[in-house]
Amino acid sequence: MTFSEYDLPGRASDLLAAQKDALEDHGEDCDQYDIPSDEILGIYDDFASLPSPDNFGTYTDGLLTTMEKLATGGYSTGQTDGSTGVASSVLDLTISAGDEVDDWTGKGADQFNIWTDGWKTGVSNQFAATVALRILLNAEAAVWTGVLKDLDDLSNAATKAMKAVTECNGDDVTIALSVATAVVGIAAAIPTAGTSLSLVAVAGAGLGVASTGMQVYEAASKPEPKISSCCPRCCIDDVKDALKDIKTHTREAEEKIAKDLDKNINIINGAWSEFCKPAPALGSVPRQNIHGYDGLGSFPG
Amino acid sequence: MSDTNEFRERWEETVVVTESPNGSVFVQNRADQVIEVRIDDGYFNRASLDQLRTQITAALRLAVADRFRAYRSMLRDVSGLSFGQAERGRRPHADEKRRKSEELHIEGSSADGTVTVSAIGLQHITVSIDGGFWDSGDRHTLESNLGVACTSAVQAQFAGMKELTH
Repeated sequence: MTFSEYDLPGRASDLLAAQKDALEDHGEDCDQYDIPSDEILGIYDDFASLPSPDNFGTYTDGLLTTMEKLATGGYSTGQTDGSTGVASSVLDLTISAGDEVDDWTGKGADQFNIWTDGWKTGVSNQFAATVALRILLNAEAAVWTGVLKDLDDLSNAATKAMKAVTECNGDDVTIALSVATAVVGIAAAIPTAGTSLSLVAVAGAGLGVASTGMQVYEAASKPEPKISSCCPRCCIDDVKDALKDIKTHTREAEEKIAKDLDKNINIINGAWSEFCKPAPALGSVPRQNIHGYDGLGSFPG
Repeated sequence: MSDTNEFRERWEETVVVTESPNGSVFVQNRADQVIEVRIDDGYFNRASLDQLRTQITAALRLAVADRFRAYRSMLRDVSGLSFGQAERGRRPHADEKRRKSEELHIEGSSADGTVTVSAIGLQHITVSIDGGFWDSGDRHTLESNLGVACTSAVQAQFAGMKELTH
């Protein structure tokens, strides 16, 4: 069964039961063993409501559909099965439409032709923006996948460390946190010169994260908090410190994603016409008057 | 079964056997409840008291190390987690408990008082064997008395550790 934040109250109850066992073994006149029940039962309360990594899939799937429509060439879909996407045939029609009026005279025709010449670059930039946004959403999913895995591992280790509390044993349980390494591979900034497809290769690691969890980052080093089995007080204090670590790493990851998002938004804002080109002059002519529009000129042939 | 009970039951089933450096003295620890000592008959007959005491002491030191190794291994097997020696400097209470445990003096004796085993922090182990009893050449009684003294010392260790945490 998949772990979720809704399992945490049960884990807190398990931890309390283990502490009661240790207290019973030891006797009830020691602060190090007699921890208030509320302190243990509420230990995971800060994580009572978390974003579900699965919920990001709807958006990343939608963005993949957008990528299909904006692809001017073949591209990696970033899926773990290694599948690739093909160029959109609809875009080819738009690009070839410019060639159709290449020999026409007149200002409107010339502008339309110039506009279609830049069409591929603009659409490619939109594709790049879509890829970058998808990578950032994947990173978000990875962060929360990591948080849930860490909470699962930590709450499990905490209870077992508490159960190992004995008079002669003071060992530490060591676990590894995942969330700290969740976003090491976020995308670089969007290129704005029509080189979008190269971005897919550069940022490929980030593409595959959403539905597959953390395996992309398995090789990265991970913080390893220790949970003491010296006594219930040491154990609980270590759990609290590890929970603080998870919060800190989550905040750092979120800040990194926000910073990358801002960077990409600034690129788009600073070069808006590269992403959304103004319509050609021909586009402003009312349809019923097009034959009377001098700017269209005439076909010399 | 809860991990607590499984830890206990698995440990109660655990037998740790250690031999002295020259392979002539054997210590068997059954879950810290019963300690048995066996001495090779040939070595018993040819060794001096000092030589034998040196081997027994060495075997007991190794038995302590083996015991903690086995306990940690049991914790890992049952929990699937990485249990290891506590890192110093993380928790003041754990450090203090460890410091006190390293100074904890314990002693256990045989019922007739001819054999005594004492230790400080389970590190500095001393074995005393009455000279008159040694002269009797009764290996079986010596083994039995060593077992009783060691078991008694281990019980004193647990009691001392419990006191330390209050």
